[in-house]
Amino acid sequence: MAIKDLRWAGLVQQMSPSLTVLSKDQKQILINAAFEILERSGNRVGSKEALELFRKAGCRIEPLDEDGEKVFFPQSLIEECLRTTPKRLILYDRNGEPSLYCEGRNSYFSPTSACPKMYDPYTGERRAWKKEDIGNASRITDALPHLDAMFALGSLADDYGFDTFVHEVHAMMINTTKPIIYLSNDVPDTKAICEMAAVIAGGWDRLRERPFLLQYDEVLSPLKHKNHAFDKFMYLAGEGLPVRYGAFTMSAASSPVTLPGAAAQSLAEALVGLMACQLKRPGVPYVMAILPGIMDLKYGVLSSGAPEYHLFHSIYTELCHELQLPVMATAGITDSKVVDAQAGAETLWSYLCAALVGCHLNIGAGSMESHLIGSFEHLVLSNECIAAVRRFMKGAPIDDNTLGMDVIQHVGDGLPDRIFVDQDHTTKNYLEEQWQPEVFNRNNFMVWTEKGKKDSFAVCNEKVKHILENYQPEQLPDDVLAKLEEIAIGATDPETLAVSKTAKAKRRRKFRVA
Amino acid sequence: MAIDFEELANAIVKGDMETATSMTAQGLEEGKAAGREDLVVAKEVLNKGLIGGMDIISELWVQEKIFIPEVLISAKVMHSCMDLLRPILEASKEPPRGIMVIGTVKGDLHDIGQNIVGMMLKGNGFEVHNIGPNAAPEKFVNKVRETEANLVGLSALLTTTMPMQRETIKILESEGILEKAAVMVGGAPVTADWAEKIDADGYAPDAAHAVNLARQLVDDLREELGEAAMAN
Repeated sequence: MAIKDLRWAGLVQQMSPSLTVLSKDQKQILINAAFEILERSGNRVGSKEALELFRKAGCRIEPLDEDGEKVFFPQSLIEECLRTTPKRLILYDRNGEPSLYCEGRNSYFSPTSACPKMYDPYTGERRAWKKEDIGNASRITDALPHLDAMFALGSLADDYGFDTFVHEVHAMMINTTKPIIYLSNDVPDTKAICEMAAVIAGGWDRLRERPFLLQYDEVLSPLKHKNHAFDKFMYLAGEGLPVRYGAFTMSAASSPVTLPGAAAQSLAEALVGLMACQLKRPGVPYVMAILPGIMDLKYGVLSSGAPEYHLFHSIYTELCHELQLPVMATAGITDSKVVDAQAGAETLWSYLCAALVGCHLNIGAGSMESHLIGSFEHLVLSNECIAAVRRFMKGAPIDDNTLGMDVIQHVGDGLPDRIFVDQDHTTKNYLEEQWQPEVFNRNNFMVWTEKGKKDSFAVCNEKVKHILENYQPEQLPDDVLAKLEEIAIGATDPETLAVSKTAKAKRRRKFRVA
Repeated sequence: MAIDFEELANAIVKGDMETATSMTAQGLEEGKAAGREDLVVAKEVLNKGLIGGMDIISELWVQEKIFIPEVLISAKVMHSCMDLLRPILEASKEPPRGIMVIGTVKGDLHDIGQNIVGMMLKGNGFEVHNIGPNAAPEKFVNKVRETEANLVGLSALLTTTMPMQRETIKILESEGILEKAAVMVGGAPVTADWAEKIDADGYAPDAAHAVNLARQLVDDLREELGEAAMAN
């Protein structure tokens, strides 16, 4: 080795931007607070199966009300269950290829779900979702390289009532190869959905080995656990499929207004699900989840764009890292009603924090008005923001090439005429070094004017239409498609399929909107 | 000499429990000492003092000068003052501004929103019967019959439980409840379109608007029932 090669010996390394909001001691304080909540405050659990498991495991259980009993968890049980929970999870794609490595500080992004309305990309109208719209959202997500998984974005409740979810998953499965996150109403829904997944995977064993979907279940904060949520994920745990459970926290309403308390409570709530799953089937994969919401006390609405939201997200993620558990949170959602400056600022900031702190799965693309309306344009905006964040996160290696001492010397030797733009070093490196936006505009005013003076929304809308009119995702074989269709229709109540329009009542009162 | 109603209203606005309750009690005592009828005095304290205070609170909230916690604190104070007036008002058989049964529809366990709406209405002189989350249509029907309510509030927080609002309204209709009561719906995913589609009588996007809506619906209903009575 020549002495010259040792010149940067102490420096050669990869930059890796990161965010830390808690010290080691502070993490321990919050985790201990969560343990104390589990030990002393109690959680209401209604699921008979879970109560039986908790009782056998030595939990103290007190009667509470018709919806459940109050369970107190000993520290030793929490520690035992944490020990059996896998420290990492790989989610596969529809073809069984490894896709999302939920480990370390990796972060992945997907749309959110259940927005009651959508913006029609052609008319701009706010309207109800149809099954083909969920398919379109899936196709757009499939086409956008920085959206890593699919979640339905919308809700088919207007058309399908209680039987909406199997159809949402059906629409996603046939329109994207990316891993799928889904909602389900009850155990029969979950069974039908897993059955469809098994058809695609080529059997249940193969699905267990290479899961490509993850179910979304929520705590009923504060400290209450819905029976049907428990039943659904306990079923998955029994089948050896990964479970994802956690709080939809509205700090100031369903948790303390102060973030450390909100985070400790949310952590405790998600750990209740973890213990139930580990007691049912030790070693079943479990993802700690959170929607780190803030209730805005001026309007009484959920805010997903608040700075406290991003701080809450970071705190919770760090606590899960400390416990070495896969973690999933909402991110990228905006409170704005349109794709405007607020939407851009809230979305980018949220993704940047999520990536810097290293939250594994972040759902939220396409969601505006804090989950109340889905926008295809926001999916494109999200893709752009995530692409920019990923460039930032990539940092740069520090080595001979990136320091460029030779090219600087070369330009110095040729002063005053030499500049960098035409140097080999530049042509060799610029594509790797510089990220190019597709939505954000860098033109000068004249060129921008000549190209139609398009703002970000217009560019996103064009891209949406382009994808909808041109992009075809990879197709499933015909026999698989037929089977999926059969399962989806079989899982639906025929009455629901014949969606009833309510017979107009006899009353003819004036309808009032306050 | 009567108490200073403006001062009482201000105590409500400030959420000053001690001043508000002691002034309410004082108002009743002074009225008695002056030989005035209890009911007249109680109504004066209620309308000029307590409701006066809550009207200011509503206005400040609509103007975004105060937030939900302040409104709830004032509503609590108003309610404690009402406890002092209630025996007199009830003895007179004078009906309250409105009687409401509020709950979250069956299958839906989220109750924070409807609790806030209930507290607001209580604080604005409504008699509120909160039947909680996961309330089956029959539970609404029975509670309305029991309390003779003229207003029903149905909350749903999930797109999957919104259809249960429609089911509940159908049953309220077929049980004859809606002949004498109006029904309003709300909840994060609920829209005015949906409310109209499922034959609700009204929709409010948040708790602040819900109070005004409730007042309007009750007024409409009085007019409607009054007219019907005249037709007979």
